[in-house]
Amino acid sequence: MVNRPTDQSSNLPIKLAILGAGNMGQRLAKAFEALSHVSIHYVYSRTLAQAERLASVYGAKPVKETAPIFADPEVDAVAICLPTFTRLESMSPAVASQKHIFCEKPLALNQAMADEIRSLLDGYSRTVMVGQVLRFFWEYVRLRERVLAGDIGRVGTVRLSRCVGYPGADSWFADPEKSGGVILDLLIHDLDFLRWAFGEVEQVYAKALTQSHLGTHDYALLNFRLESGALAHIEGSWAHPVGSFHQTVEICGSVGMLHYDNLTSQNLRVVSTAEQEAGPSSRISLPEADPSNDPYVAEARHFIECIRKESKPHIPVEESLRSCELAFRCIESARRGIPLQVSR
Amino acid sequence: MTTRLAIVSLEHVHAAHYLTCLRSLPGIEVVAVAESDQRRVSVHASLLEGLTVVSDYHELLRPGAIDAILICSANSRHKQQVLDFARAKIPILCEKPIATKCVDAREMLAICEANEVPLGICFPVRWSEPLRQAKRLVEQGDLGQVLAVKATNHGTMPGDWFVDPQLSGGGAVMDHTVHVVDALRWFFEAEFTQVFAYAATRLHPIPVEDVGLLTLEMSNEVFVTLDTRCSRPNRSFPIWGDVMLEIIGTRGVISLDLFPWTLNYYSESAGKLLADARDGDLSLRMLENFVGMIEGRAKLSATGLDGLRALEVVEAAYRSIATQQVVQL
Repeated sequence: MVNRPTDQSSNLPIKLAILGAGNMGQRLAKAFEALSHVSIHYVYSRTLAQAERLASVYGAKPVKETAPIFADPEVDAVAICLPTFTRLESMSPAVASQKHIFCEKPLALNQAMADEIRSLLDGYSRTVMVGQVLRFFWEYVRLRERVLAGDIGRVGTVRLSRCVGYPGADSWFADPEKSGGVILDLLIHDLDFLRWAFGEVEQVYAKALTQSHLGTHDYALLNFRLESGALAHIEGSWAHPVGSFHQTVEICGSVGMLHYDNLTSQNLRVVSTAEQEAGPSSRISLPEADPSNDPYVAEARHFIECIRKESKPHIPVEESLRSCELAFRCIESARRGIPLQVSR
Repeated sequence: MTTRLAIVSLEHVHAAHYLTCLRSLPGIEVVAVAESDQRRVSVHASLLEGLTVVSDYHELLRPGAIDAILICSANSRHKQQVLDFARAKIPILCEKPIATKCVDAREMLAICEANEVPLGICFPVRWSEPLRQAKRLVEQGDLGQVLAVKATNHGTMPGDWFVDPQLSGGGAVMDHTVHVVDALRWFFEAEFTQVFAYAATRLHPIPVEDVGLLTLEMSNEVFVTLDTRCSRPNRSFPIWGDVMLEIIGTRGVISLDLFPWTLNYYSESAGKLLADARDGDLSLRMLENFVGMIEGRAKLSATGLDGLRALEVVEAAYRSIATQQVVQL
């Protein structure tokens, strides 16, 4: 992942606008700021006070409308960290004003939006990258490399798990019509990793609390048969303690087994006794990262490099859309209570 | 008065452990083992010292020979053996699964009932102290409303008759499902209502499935996934496998590892890490319950009916695997 280009383009200054000053806006602003010759010019938030708070950290200009950002020719790129249901409101003007686009996951809320984004970005020549950050986690990259190298032989089963706390009843995450619930918003990471490392899914059977426990809990258990014939199981929880973050992987093959658990392999552990900072997104937990190996910095760096070198990101937009579409099938299986084929 | 117990066959891997446990229990004496395979007899020679070994279990059926029988033969032999001992009016404890087909299990229950012979099934997981503690916590409301359970029962590939469908009735789904199914029926005092399952042979060149994934629903509206497979690498994995349960409630989550890796033993002679698990000896408490029942001071915990209920889930799982449909129980 670490790339040290020597050509002059590596110093090309990039001016960035952060759209959204919530949890991911804050996280990505920090990640982009860590890169040389990248500066944050604007921070947009619907709530000006929140935009001001984040903008002041980076000497950026806080705005509560996006129009000035898209109208400013100085701005090279936008990082969209806004709620999923508003994707098109920022994506369309970003395309119209020819900005490079970094968009937080999940890329689309539903099939209609996925189709619209697909046609919006069809033939778009600027850099577009989706923050499928799991593809920049050292552990997941290595797991995939071992699988593809055949180190564990023929894969029999894959178990992926991701457990965090409930985002809060007041948050837009709590409304599956806006966030897609735990399957789309949280498990998009693991669904994307599943496809990336093990190929396409043939069939899914899913159970979820998304509809039955609206506003209090969400939890999903997804079972898959992959086109390769391997079986997969994915757990996603918004029913664990607020502030906790647990991700695990277990892959069994004919000549070996791989296992990863972030709680037993941390080399940086931060425990705070301070009062939780109040705010609309303070309930969202993100993994602590070793600064030398921060996946958010790695994805930000990759995006910036793609702009400078005019190269395609490792994660094509179509890949992200396909992972979203897999999530939609899972949601539908859980809702209808039947196994569903996943169409190619 | 001492109960004289015999064991039919050392075929099942649990038999040797049960024999050791039984020897430590007061009020019971293991008097004989029936084993037709001389190779098994010689493998377990030291364990069998001082015991009468008969090659044909029918010898144990003669009146007055024994007071109780523990059946540890291959799954498909359970039926005939249970019928024979039931007709001889000898109380029976039978290894899980009760049989390979529900129709056989129902006949076994009927014959035991007609002969007024108690039939117990070896479901040691019920006797896990951490599981009992979790049951208490759930019952006193510490977890709020239980919503879902994520369960696993993994093992290494057992080989031998376990992978012969004629003797075992199936692979990972047959061998592993019943433990967790019984534990959850007991835990929630609820029944399974629905099964959807995937299975495949992916890891070993064997004629039965070695991986299985079950999605279940219970009468208390809890949904469950159960990952049942022989996926632990036989040569390099530090331990035989696992039974794990994660119980998701509205007020919290309980994670249960029934056989935690208590000690890590980096063994030069084995050339790998070996783990010592702490299990609190579930089998011992299960056998104690059976002996207590014979002595008239305890109620049999897991009965033939529990064995049948668990097998019904297995049969439904195989039906779902064959049809790729959700099967109602």
